[in-house]
Amino acid sequence: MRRTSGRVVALLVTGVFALGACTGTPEDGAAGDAPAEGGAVAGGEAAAPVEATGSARTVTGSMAETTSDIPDGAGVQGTVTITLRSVEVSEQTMTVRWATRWDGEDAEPDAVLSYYDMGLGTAATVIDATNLKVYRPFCTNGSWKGDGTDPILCEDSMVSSVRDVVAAKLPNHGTVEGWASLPAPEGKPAKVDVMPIEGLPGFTQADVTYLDGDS
Amino acid sequence: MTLASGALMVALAVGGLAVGAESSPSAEPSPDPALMAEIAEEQQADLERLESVTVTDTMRADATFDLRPDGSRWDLVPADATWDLRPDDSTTPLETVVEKDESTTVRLTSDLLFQFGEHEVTKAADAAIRDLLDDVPRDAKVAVDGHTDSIGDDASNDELSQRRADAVAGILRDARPDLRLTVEGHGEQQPIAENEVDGKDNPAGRAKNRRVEVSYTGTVG
Repeated sequence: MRRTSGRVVALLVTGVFALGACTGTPEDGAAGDAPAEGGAVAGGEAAAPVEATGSARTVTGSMAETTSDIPDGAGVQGTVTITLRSVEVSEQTMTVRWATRWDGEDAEPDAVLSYYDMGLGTAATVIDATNLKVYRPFCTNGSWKGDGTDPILCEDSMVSSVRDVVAAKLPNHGTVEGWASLPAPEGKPAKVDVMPIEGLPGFTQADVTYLDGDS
Repeated sequence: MTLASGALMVALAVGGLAVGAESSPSAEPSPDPALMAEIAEEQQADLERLESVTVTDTMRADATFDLRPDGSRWDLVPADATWDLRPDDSTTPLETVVEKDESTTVRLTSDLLFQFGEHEVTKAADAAIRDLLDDVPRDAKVAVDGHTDSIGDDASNDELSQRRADAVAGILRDARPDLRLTVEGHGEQQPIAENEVDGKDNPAGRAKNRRVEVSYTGTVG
């Protein structure tokens, strides 16, 4: 089962780099083409609404949403819904925000699963197909491009809300906000493809909002 | 530039509050409030860590990949994501037999016994375990011990190792009612290989530690 709403369609990585449009139509879900909460138009036509809350920014809108079964072989049941909230660039940093929700109808109401339980990875990825670049979250230890355990150390130290696939919890029916900090895309693309969670469909053609007003 | 001074000021809205209400009618089930509060605390800690990070040009370059097959290190480039399947150096046996004095210990790798995160023995592994019983003497005392690697907390590992040991014992009991079984889960407390080397993760060692051991004395005949 897979449902996608909004004009941003999902992409699914299946071992090799495969971009695949999702099934589903813009009318499938809540986001659709109707204005989302706060007056934003889903599908990336406008930036998600942002409320200034001191030093924090609360994003309550959504660009698109996709719901998928937990991958086969994980040994657990249910669906995971990813809501892409925003892709914003300021100075030399790109921030991706999303929300993750697990619904296990056969699980106890207070059940909890980790990403590890679901066979999912937590390194967000942004692909700029126009300028042929791929971006991953900054890390403070190790290296994505290093050898041996460097990539593992890098993943463990990502500048991201979710790093530890075992410790990070997803409560049944709970929506958990996520974010990751990546390099600002070179060439200032208007749209990028976003995969917030490894192993689940992502989003193609997501609008990039340049907060510094250069786009 | 520190991220705190840049654009990365993030929201910590968690749970079925504003966010949940957006996509879920009120009649839908809601998450455990205590757990959601716990997650919010963890995310607050993450935010504090984030605010202390200074992004350097080196970090920026390391997180940027060229989407080109030539010279790229990006994992998802098809040319980089294709391997030759060589059974001679990639096959992991289900069992390893360790004999000492008159006792025999058969170490069964959990990676082949169970599906990911599960404690139910796969059908193929069930048959393989039954085959091993040909070497176990009649009425033998058999110890079945479950072990995990060091990933996860102690409580989870203890429970998983116990359940996996129980699953293997169930097969033994079904196939050989004559055996006198003792079953125990040890979690990560009795590793046979290093989970970390020089402070770094050691996946090969952890794989060895994920196991169920079947031990007995004597020989058939």
